Order: sequence, then structure tokens, then C-alpha cells
Amino acid sequence: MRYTIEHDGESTPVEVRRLGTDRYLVKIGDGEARVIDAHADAQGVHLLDGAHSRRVRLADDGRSAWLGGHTVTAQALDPHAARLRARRGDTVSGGGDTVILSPMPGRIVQVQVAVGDAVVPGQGVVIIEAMKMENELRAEIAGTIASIHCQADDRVEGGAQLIVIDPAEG
Amino acid sequence: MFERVLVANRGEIAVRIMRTLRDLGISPVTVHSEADAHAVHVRMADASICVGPEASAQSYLVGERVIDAARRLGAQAIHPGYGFLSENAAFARAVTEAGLVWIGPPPEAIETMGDKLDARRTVEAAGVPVVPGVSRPARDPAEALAIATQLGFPVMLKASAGGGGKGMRLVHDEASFEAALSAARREAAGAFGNDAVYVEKFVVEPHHVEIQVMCDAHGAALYVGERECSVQRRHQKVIEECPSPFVDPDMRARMGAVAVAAAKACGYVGAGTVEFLVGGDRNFYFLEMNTRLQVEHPVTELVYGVDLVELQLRVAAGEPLGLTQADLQPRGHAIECRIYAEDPVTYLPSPGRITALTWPEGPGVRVDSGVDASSTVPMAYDPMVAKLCTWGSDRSQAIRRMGRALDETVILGITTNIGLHHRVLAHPAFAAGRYDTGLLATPLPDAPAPASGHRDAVLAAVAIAQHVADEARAVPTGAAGDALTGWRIEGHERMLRGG
Repeated sequence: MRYTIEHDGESTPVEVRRLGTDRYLVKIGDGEARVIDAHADAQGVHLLDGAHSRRVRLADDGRSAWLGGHTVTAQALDPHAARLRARRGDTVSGGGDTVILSPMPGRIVQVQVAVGDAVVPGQGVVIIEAMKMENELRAEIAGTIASIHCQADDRVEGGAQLIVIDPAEG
Repeated sequence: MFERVLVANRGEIAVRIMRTLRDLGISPVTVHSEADAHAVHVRMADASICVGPEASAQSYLVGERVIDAARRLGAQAIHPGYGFLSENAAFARAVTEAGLVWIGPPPEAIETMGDKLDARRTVEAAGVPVVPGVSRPARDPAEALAIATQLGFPVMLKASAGGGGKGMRLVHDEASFEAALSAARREAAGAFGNDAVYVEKFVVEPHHVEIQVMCDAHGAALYVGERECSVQRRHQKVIEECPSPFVDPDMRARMGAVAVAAAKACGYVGAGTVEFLVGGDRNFYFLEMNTRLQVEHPVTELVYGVDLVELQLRVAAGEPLGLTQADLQPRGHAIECRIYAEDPVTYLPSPGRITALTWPEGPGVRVDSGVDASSTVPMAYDPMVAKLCTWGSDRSQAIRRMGRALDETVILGITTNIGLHHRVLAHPAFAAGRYDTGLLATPLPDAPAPASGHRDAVLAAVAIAQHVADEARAVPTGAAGDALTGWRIEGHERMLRGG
């Protein structure tokens, strides 16, 4: 999975893949992907990165972190917020997202895809109406529709997950 | 001894007093404001009664409700802690009149020491040195200026009814005197409803050193060493230590004898603190007496091996102290860092919900905290959330242990002054034990930088935590309805479970 992590006001893409119990492949920004032994619990994550042992404490509201006496603001941006920031040019790199979220409270006018459909970047997937305006939500990545969580005439809140796309390999 | 005692306070001091009550097999009960119904001090008590809304003027400071709560809960005595009602002589009287025991000095002693000029006159008559000056408010600006000229500049203007630095002005020369005087009077009137201001000689290279005294009702009056409190910002203490690196045994004995004389002069019983201003020339002058348990009392307890709250309880119950001056010998060194919920740059309070919390442990560490991992620090009360103390066999070990303890401390969700403590510990003057009350006005060393790899480790940890939370949720529900990420949702669920 690819996440956008905001650290001290700066956004960085971080990719995480689980390799086994307490073992992950982690790629930070443009850096090399590394195997990190890590154990997550209710209070944070212990990293064993090579021989480096680091206990990172995480706030229970997911907004700040502590390591070795130093506190920083650090949070995983939810995909919608990350996308908004990407549009504003905040993020280090662009790229799409696997979850289509409702950008606002509104009513679903039409779902334009079905589970299993292949989509390409820019392809419309859902039309949502809010404040008498129809907005077409588009896929930002190539892939296959994995799940659909709305149907025509649903009322949805801002931030609701509407469509999940399974990204195409490569 | 009492079977049940009501602690009329909140936060760390209420918790600290209740611990000693538990040690002695006494049932602790307390009071709380509406905002504090589930605060740490209430959880720790056997019973608690709400005495009003969040504002302390309508709850913790309403004496009759506190006394009523003590009666209803079957307490025999009331411990006021510090702040709130602790130096309110009328409340002390009302407690006694209600047939309860007041764990504090006689109301007359509180009154005498509560008025700075009255206190000064009383101790001066007992032979206690006071800062050269005139022990009464100046009648008019012309008289004030005449006094200042006679003492010689610099002089300090002080509010007669004052405390906490309000109404205080340092004046370096005659030219700025009049403006400083009217400012001090305005401030005093605003803060205390009394614009009386008096003039004192300003002591150069001032140290703030205080003597702990302990008196019983049978005539015993002892001093329990000193505390160095010169690490101050705008007259608010930040770090204290015991013993003072500035005080030698001979000076300690002389200051102790004088402090005991001051206590006896006002008929003192119980624990009290005599504050002194000490010049760079080691001459010391009486400042004021705090007629209650002092915030920084733990450093004395660590070095002198006494439980001051237990002694307070025994004295209030009419027992003799059972100690002699020779029993009270210092051992090692202790330092206290006050942990404030405040912005280290602006010094503004930083209330909020604590989102992660771990206190330090291990050799030589004592933590007196009024919060836990589920606490919210309200705007309405004192921003001090804890006192972190370390003890060492010498000063250097105590300082090294403090550095380690601060590094172990995790507080997220609120901004604290932990970084400031690191910077003070790293200050060459502090490390050498050669500093005065001007220390925090001098440039402090930079806070130590995070170790290399700090940022990447945090990024990896946050991403892995998010990934684990996403996996746990397995299939997205799609109807979450808010923009919280899985990690955050898990945090909220954990809070709701109380885990």
C-alpha cells in the first residue's frame, strides 16, 4: 500500500508491503525499498531496521509521534486529503489513489462502472450531485474496480468511500 | 490518627497527598468540579462530591461547599494542598468551627504571613534580616522616591498585598522611577484590589533560596534544609534543587535558625516555607513565608528522607514530630523539573487532550503527576501537569538522571516545556551550579538535535501503523461517513474501550 505521510508539515509518499509477521518492505519517497522488522501495538511501533532499534510512540488521534525525546507532528493523510493536497501541489510526487471518496456531502446520480471493470486514469466512475451541481468523479489510476459502496440515489457524507480500485500491476 | 481525610484540591498535589493517606491506611476523599468528575484525583479517592462548575471560583474555592462535602463524606480533617483555599485564613477558621481538623498552620499565622508588610514587621522584630527598605507603603510618590534615593538604586517596587510577580517593578534610576511606580500601583490595584506599594533595595545577583520548616504543637520547630529555586521565569519557578549549590553547611545552619525564628514569631504549626533573597555576596534576606505545603517539596523529601505530608498529618493529629534537628541530615542531591502544558516559545498555556503518555522510571526517579493517558488538560486550571524529580548521590548524577528521565518522558497531544528543561540542563552555568535568578534571561543552548534517521523512522512507523490498521479493517465499509483514517479510528475505538 502506498500512503502519504505528513511529517512536520511536509508530505512524503511511503509504500508499505507486509512480508510476514512483523516484517515489512518499506520505501520512503525516492529511497531504496528496505526490509524492516517492525511490531505495531496500541501505543506505537517498534522498528528493528538492521540493528537499529527505535521505539516510535504514536498519538491515539494519529496526529503526532515521538522518538528519542523528540516530538513531531506526523500523520497518515487519508486518501481524500492527500489528493486535495496533491492538487494544490503539496505532495512530493503525484500519482493516483485506490479509493474514490465523496468530496462533499451529496446525492449519487449514477454509478458508471461495475465490479470487475477495467478503468484508466481520467475515466469517470461516479456522478454525484451537490448544491444543484453534478460532479463526475474520475479514476486517477489504472486498475480494476474492486468494490462499489454506493448506488444511485444514495445520500453520502463528505469523505465517504465510494469506489475501491485494485491498481494494475506495474 | 484520622480515618478519613478530605483533600480539597485537584491535579498532582491531590494525588500526592492521597498517596500518603493510603500509606497510612487513611481513606482519601475529595471534591471536584463538573469538569473534573473523572479526573485522576477523583479516580484515586474513595469518594468525591461535586462542588460546582469548572471555574474554580465557583467550585474548588467555595469553602462552605468543601466543608459540607467533608461532613457528608465523614472526613475528620481537610488537607488543602497548595493554591486554592490553602492560604485562606477564613476558610481555615470555618473548618475548625465545623468541628473538623485543618491540616495547616493556625489562621493567625496565615494572616500574619499573608500580608507582606505585616510579615516583614513580625519577622524583623524576631531578628530576621529583611531586605533594606521601608516596611510600610509609601504615602505618596514623593516619599517613595525619597526612600529609593536613600536606599540607592537599583530598587524594587512591590505590591503590599502581592505575590506571583504582580505589581513588582525593578527600577534602575531616578528617571524611570515615577512611571514604574504608577505602573506597579495600577497592576497591584488590578490584581489585588489594593494599590499599596513599598520600596526595597534590589539585591544584585539574586538567588531565591527557601528553607523548609516543620513545627509541631508541642514547641518543636525544625528546619529541613533549603531548596534552590533560582531557575525562574517572570518569578515563576521552573527547576528547583536540594541542596542549593550556592549554600554551604554554615550558611544552611544560619538560614535554618533564622527561618525557625520567623516561624516561631508567628506561632507557626505544621509545614511551611520561608523564602529568602540571597545576594551574590551570600547575605540573605527574608522575602515571605508560604504557609502551606510547597509545590517543590519532593526534592526535600528525597534528600532528607522524610514524608512532609505524613509529618503534616501527624502534627495536625496532635502528635509530636519525634525528630530532632540532628536527625535531619541531607543525603545526595535532588532536582525537580516542573512539566507545564505550555508553549516553550510563547509560554502560553497549551491545554488539550493527552494522546500518548509515558512517565520515566528507574533509578532515582520520582514522578508526581496529575494526569494519565486519558486525561484532558483543561484551560481552567494551573498548566502544571507533573513534577519530575531525580535523586543522585551527587548533583552531577542527579542532573544526568534528569536528562535520561526527560528523554524517557512521552507526552503527546499537548505542548510541554520538556525542551526548555533540556536546554537549561545543558547550560554551562546550570551545570556548574553557578547561576542566579537571571539564568533564564540569558541565551540558552539549543535543544539537542534529533538523531540521524529520526525522520525516516517516524515515516516508516506511521505508515506501518496505518497499514496494520487497514489490514485489521479488512474490507472497507464505504459508509464511514468521516475522513478519519483507520489508524485514527482504531485510536478512537481504543479510547471508547478504555484501553
